[in-house]
Amino acid sequence: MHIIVEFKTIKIMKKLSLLLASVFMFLTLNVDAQENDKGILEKTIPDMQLKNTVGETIHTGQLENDGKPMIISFWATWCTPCKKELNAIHDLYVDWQEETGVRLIAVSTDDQRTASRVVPYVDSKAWEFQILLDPNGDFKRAMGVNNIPHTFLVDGNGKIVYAHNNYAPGDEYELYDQILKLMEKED
Amino acid sequence: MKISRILTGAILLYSGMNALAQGTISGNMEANYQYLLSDEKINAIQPDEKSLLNSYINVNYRLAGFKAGVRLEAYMPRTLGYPDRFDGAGLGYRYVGYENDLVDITVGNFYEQFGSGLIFRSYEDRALGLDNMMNGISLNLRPYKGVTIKTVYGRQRFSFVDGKNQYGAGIVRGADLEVNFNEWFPKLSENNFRVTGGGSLVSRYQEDNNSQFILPENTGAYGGRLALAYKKFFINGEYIIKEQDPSQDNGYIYNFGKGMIINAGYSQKGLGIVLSAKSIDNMSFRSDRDAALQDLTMGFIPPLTKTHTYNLVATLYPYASQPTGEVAFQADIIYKIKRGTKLGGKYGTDISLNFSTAYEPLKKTSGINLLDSTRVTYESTLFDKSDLLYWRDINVNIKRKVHKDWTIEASYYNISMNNDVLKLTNEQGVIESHIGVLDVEYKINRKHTIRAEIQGLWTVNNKDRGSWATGLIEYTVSPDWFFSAMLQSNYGNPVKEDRINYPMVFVGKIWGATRVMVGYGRQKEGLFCVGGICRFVPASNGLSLTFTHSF
Amino acid sequence: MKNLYQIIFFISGAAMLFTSCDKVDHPYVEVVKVYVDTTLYPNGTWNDYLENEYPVFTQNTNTNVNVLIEDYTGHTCISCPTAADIAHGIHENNPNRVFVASIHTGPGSTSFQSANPNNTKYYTDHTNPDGIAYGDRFKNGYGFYANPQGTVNRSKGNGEMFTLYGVWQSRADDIMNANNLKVNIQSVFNYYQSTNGGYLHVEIEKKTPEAIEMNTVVYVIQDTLVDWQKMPDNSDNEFYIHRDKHLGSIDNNPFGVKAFSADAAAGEKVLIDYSYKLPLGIDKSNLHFLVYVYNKDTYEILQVIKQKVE
Repeated sequence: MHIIVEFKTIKIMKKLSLLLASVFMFLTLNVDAQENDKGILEKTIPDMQLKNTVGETIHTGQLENDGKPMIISFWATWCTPCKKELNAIHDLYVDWQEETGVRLIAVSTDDQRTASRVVPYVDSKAWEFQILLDPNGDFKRAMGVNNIPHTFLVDGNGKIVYAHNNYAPGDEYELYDQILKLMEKED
Repeated sequence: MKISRILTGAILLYSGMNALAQGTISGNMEANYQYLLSDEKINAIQPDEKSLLNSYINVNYRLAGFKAGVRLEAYMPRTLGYPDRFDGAGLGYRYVGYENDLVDITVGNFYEQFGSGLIFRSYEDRALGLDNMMNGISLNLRPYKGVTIKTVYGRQRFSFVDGKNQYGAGIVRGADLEVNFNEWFPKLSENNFRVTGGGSLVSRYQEDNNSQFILPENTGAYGGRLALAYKKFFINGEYIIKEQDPSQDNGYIYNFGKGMIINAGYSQKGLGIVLSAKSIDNMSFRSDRDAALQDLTMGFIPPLTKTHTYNLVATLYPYASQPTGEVAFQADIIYKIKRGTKLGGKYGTDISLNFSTAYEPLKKTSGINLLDSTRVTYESTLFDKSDLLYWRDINVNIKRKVHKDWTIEASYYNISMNNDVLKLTNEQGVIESHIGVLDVEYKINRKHTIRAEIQGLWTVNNKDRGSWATGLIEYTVSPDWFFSAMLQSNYGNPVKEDRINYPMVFVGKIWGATRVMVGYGRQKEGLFCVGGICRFVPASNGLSLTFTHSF
Repeated sequence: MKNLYQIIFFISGAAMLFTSCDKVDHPYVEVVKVYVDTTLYPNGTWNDYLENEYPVFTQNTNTNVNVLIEDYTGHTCISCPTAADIAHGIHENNPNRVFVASIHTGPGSTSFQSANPNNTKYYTDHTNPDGIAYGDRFKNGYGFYANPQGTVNRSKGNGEMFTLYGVWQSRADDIMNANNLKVNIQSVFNYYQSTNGGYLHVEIEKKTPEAIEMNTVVYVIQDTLVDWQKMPDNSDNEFYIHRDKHLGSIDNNPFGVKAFSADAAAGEKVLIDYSYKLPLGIDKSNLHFLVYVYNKDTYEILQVIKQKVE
């Protein structure tokens, strides 16, 4: 019985190293893309049809802001850091819009358990963001989001230029720095 | 070896993609690693393999309307608490599809939801180990403005053995029609009305291989939904009927099942109110009638309770929907006291009130002959509840920024949980507990923040494991680092030897879309029961490492 | 980015390090032997026993395949009484062909079987090393993930060996209707009051020409035992009747001894002798043996018989 254990360990190690090899490969791919502006991994927003809070269908591929930057942020009513992030941005939103014209689209991944709380929560906070609903996680999956909060910055041409996972108080300033950097580049 | 084939396939895909530089590749990966030690105090055993690893990588490709993707998964072996039939490494998910304004077709694996999901929901929640993906064909049509038709056909994933997906025994077929009436009658929008309606039909085919009963091979479920909104009010509801579905969950009875969920609410700037009601009877619908726990579920019955995130509230006595039957109600009020007022303070105060409860439904047996040949064991009406309480949760949450740098959040919960039904611990009857949480955040400067939580739980009459306390400190450095330490203590356990402490520390680093978190400490065990079958998740002590990356 | 690579190297290095540290103490696989205690015979020497009391077996004319339902149970598992009742019901429907063994173990753990002798309830440890060995062997890849679950002749219906109680009757009926007899067993147990023990002699005849390597196992089963059990309504029942409790294997070998190698021909017979001393405190009328032969590769039970002590 002990001999079988030995063989199993070797098999597991073989599989582990092969899996890690493929992981390395994809990471190299990604690294190349991030360092090269025109790499093949320059991501655009996948085109799907989501509903907004008044039942209208919105094509995600057609989201645009007149050539100005856009923020897409994934959140849920039960995700405390997500709410903190969006509330922090809400406090600065007026200034941000004045200076850069940026627009924020908050995509809620609440499923049927909490979907009814989305509109009441948004209204109670008086957010001016556009809210999209993604109850089965289809858009979240297509954008490659692991867990929320996850925020993307999209330039005027629809290309994703910055993404950040997790939220710590102060991250909104980092996000704004990225927006300013983007504005400089586009000038 | 299968892996080398997948690897060559992936390399070909990569070089192929390189050639077609127009498309977009996106995806994500996650790896969860645990190194476990044995710990006598909490009965944690060190598994033979000592270290456990779950990982996966999703790669999606899109070009104009064409889409394709794969997911490679590896369980070497599976981490603790994960359903047991997962091992090996290989292809866990693959699809090709085409989407344009009129049609959206996917062949291979896919996820889909009809309406609220009560009749059919195929989804993933990787953190909980839930994944009932479909393997087959999904065809969506948008033939006319405002009309969406969804159709699905296939089998659901049951397990992942030796690197290959194993699918359930039953074949699922379904169709759903949704109409947004505002697109047909623009007058509705002009008058501030919004109306959406829909209907679904889902059927499962499973061979009758049971020599004890004659089982219906085709089980159908159908229903409709309607959503209305007028200015700031909204009301929506869905009603589903399921025909004869004798299964392990309901003891092979031939009753029909029915379920209804209604939500209504009102919201305006600064105030939101939501009321919900749910009545479920015999709605466990799986693509294999002999399955149990969380396997092969076709419908999603949402628990009508608030999703709690604080440690003691969420992990000790959580509620789980009872698919065999329950009548539940919930009310939510979210209110923001304006800033600058006396009660609101300088920055305003947020108040949130929530009440949720669930009861056993009344099952009438007066007109039923249990010994007749129909095997129908009771009759019931929607929203007819008995006096047996399953669950009650009354909670209040107040959050206030008291100073430029200080924010305080205080919460109180009163939770009553019927352990005879939910079976989370060894206690009998209803366990009532009071929970208080104080959460204080201090912004040291623009980038450094420190947050502390202190939580306490006290059970009425010192039932079950008595009182608990949790303390948490979290220090974050924007945008890269976070550190946290948590101590959960069962200080008030009536049995002295069981007054165990569960300390844990976490350190994490974030680079944009990449996150690494290392944790070390002790985690208490959990009991998970659905429909009379109970699985035990053992306590653990050790190192855990989580790596996530999106690209 | 360099930091990312470093961290990944560290992770993979650590992972490989941790998984490669097994120390093998006894590299040789043990060969199983059955030890026969000759001192249990009170009326002379072992040779006297072999001459006078060793049984002579006539040709076994049985043509029925019997069914063994293993009910994996636990005394704090709330649905286990339901499963035990169902298993017992299937036995009552066919008392000469369906037998039950209640094995107190979980899939690689004993959470519903744990017992603290200092407690006022549930203080009896119903587990035994052989039962726990099954829980350990079958914890991965056999569909064993919870209690109550069970096996019906350890056959794989729908791909899984372990099933929920709703399908046990149907599975048992299928096996009895197919009646595919591949192996026949008969046995004799000679009991001696003065030593409270005796000898079990088992004759196994291979009926099928198929190349199946077979092992044989003998369960010692206690008919009834009154002790604590958690009931489906979450109450504690002090006077629950535990039926068919698995006490272990007669020779402490959970996976048994070899009966036939794969190349044995149809018609070949083998005789296996065991000795058994009854445990103190259990009456001989409350014990019986379940002798079964199984396919060593698939664990499928090919035939089972019941042997009373007296």
